[in-house]
Amino acid sequence: MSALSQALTYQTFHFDVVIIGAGGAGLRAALALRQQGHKVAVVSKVFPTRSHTVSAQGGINAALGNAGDDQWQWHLYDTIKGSDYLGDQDAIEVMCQDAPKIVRELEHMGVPFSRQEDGKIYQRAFGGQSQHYGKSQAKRTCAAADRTGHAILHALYQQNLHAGTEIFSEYFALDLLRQNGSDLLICGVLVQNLQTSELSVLWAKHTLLATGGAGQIFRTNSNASINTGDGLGMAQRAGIPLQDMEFWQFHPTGVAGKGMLISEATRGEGGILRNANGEAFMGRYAPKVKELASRDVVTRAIALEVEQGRGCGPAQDHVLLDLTHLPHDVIENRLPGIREISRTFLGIDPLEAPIPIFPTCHYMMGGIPTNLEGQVILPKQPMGANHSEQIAVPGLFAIGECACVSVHGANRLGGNSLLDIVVFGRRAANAIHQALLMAPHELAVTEDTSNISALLQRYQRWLEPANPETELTVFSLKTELQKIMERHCGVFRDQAHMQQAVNQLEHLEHQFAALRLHDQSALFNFERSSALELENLLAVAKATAYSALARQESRGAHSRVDFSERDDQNWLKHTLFYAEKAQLTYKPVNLTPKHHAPFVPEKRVY
Amino acid sequence: MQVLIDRYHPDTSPYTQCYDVDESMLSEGMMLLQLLQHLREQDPSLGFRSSCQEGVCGSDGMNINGKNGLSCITLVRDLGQRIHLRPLPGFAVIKDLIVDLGPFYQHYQAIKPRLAPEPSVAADLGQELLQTPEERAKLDGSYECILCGCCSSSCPSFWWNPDLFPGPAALLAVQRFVVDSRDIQRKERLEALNSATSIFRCRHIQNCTAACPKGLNPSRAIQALKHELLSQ
Amino acid sequence: MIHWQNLRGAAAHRWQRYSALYLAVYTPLLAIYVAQLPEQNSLQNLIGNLFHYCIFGYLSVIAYAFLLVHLWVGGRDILIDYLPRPHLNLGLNLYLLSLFAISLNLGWLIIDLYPY
Ligand SMILES: Cc1cc2nc3c(=O)[nH]c(=O)nc-3n(C[C@H](O)[C@H](O)[C@H](O)COP(=O)(O)OP(=O)(O)OC[C@H]3O[C@@H](n4cnc5c(N)ncnc54)[C@H](O)[C@@H]3O)c2cc1C
Repeated sequence: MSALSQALTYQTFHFDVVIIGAGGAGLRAALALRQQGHKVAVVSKVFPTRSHTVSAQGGINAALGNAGDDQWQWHLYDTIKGSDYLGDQDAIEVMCQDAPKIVRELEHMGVPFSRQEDGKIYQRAFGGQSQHYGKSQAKRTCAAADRTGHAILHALYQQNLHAGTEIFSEYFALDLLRQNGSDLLICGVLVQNLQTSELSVLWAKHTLLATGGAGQIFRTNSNASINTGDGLGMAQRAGIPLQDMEFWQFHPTGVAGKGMLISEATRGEGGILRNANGEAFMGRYAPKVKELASRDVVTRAIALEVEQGRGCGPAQDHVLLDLTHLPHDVIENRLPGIREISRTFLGIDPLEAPIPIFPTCHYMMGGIPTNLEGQVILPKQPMGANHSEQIAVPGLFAIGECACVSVHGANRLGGNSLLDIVVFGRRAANAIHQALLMAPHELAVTEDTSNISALLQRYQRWLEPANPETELTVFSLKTELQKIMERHCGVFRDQAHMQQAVNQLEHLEHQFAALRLHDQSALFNFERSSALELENLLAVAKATAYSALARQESRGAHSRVDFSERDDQNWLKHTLFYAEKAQLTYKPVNLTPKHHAPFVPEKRVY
Repeated sequence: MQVLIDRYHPDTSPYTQCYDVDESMLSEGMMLLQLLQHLREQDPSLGFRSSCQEGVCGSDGMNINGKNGLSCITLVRDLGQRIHLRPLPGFAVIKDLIVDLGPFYQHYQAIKPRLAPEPSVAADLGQELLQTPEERAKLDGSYECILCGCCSSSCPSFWWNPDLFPGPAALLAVQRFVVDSRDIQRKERLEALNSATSIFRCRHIQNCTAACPKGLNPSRAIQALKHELLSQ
Repeated sequence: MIHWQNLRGAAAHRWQRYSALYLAVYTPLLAIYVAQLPEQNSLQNLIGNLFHYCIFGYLSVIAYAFLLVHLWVGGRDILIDYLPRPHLNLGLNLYLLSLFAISLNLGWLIIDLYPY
């Protein structure tokens, strides 16, 4: 125990690697590192199998070719096209090439994939998938019924139990530890035991962020309440920019009015979208592949149908996803989870009646910028002339939804995120393993040469009681934040709205600065963890609003009414947002895969 | 409408708090979790866990009007005018509706829940371990467990011997691996259950099956395991 | 001495099944046998006849053995459930002892009363 200020004491631990996040990404990396014999700690604010990977439904993409011809090159093409050419082609190439092996490896770890008659992994069609570079529909999504995320997360957790990974379950990561001095060097993390509120310092030679998404910045979302972008907040506070934060995927088929996800698998298995006239309207928006167009396309189609008065229901505020024509056994065996969600939350059995759906905020394409090895990178001279030269932040890695490699660009294809988290989870682990072999020595940082005291000082405010009279609560602020983002940074955007978002977020930030806690209990203090999360949500929302406002074009999920076309001349580049001065800078997109000719941006039609 | 919640904080003695809820704030199709979140906005000290809010992460198991379940998939309107919430029975209470699931997780870990395939085959990433749809179908009903603890917490055999009896969830997990055609440790897994204090503590009163929010049937899985064990 | 950690699982379960089966068949036979006995009879006579003239006596000995098994497995299971762990070994041993004592007593009774 070392004491710093009077009140705050903390315990100290030493590890080779600390991984923050026990979702698919974190657990995959932990397993690889543990199997190499390193001393690994995984920190998670919930018990590992409660991480949001568990909710993933439809499946994971890999060109296994079990259900018809397939090649990783076609997967590469589809992903680049899906990303609206903002994805880095070298990164996407790595992911698509690794995919078959990665999926087979998961299968060997016990993931109970559904099977075809020949005993191989079952693959279904998902949006944006093609054979022969856009010619015909491919079936590339490997599925365990519609519980693929659950199957993968549990298998990874089981493997980690076997490997003996040390897990700090129900510990909240507050901030990254940094070595004082000129260079940015990350050397661990400050965490808090949620049950007891005790603080601990986990020193680590390498720190890996795998904290998942932040869908909670929008009111209607498909995300768990724990998806609050904590990793992004921590990175920002450590001085690291966030990349491509204007790109948020709104999944076309959320349960109307509630937001839970109805997987794309429903459309892959043959589901049809209908408007109030009963018309299967997707034919008008994507004549060739209809329901299986890329998500951004389908989402805009639904939003437009509703906007133009063809929405269903008394308020005309949703459309219908019709599965009633599908054979019953398809729904019962391939989509049991969807049926369960529909029955539970809507009282509707999709065997008998169509499901009311509306787009819901689902996935964050942006995140902490990394290279192909998961190392966090940033421009050497952010505002200088040569801003495209990137350097790695020593000691810091990021993977999974919180990272931006970028393999999803401006729009992610369904089934590519589960792939992303395992591929780059493994790659980052390999890179860390190599780094540990090369430099096995202990950290030279101590309390005095790190930012611990500054972090503890920042934390002090949560020990000050709130004025009992105040109306201001963490809950009211969060609701306000979600409303701002939904109103001003949703599916369709324009200058005026986004400017309002920026202004209102600024105001919210001031209010947040005045926020204190009503509950001072040390035992599972939910108000405090919510406040810590809100701080991160605010950081994410701000990065989103600023980045979106600046990007004067429509690309992928960023769809502007006032700039309705893609503008490769000026905007084929990644955004980087620096929080400290709310500054933006840009870096080029990688357009040169190693083992394939480059894909030149073309008009995107489905 | 009244919501009664059994509250506990180690600094004070336990009590049941009654919240009067104005029915105008209840929306159609509202889940119990939303109601709890609403109550917590007024009283942030109220303790309960939650995460995915759609019944797949298993965080919010609790005892609802005497029956274990997940608050996020329990409709408020089905619960009547008086809702009594208690922490999951059979576990040490940490705070309000938050219990210590440590013993539950330990049992899970103790059954070695991990696929053990033929090592030579497993090392080959060029190949899938094939499984026919029929073989795969055997896993249905056991792999879907979300470890919420509702079953074990409703099991008297588990209450009586929480340290020895693995409980329905862990036994369901055993079954998941025993019936997996890719696993080669079937015998060892069964042998590990062969004691007076393990699987044979189950009397098949089926509380677990009644409690499972995912509609799984641990009791039947345990029966099948016993059968396998006896016919070894 | 019995220790709870050494108690058998599958084997005990199996014996419990066998004994239950045997007793299920034996009990109706016992009822028939008893129904056929003359109304007035001395215990001594009864025991003598049982073992001297018909095989039912031997079936009864087996039934008793199975009953013991059944009582033991059922009883120990109940004790495992209900006794606090620190007293479990004591309880189990006392229970076993009492089963022995009853058997001894019964054996002694039979030998004592056997008329031939
Ligand atoms: C409903 C739904 C369905 C989906 N379906 C699919 C699909 O079919 N196919 C597909 O490819 N993708 C799908 N996705 C996307 C995909 O599931 C996610 O992008 C992916 O699982 C993210 O994994 P992750 O490991 O990065 O993060 P997560 O699984 O979200 O894990 C984050 C981890 O970080 C921890 N953490 C966060 N903050 C802190 C903190 N401050 N301190 C300590 N720990 C912290 C959490 O406890 C958790 O363990 C779906 C997403 C949703 C929401």
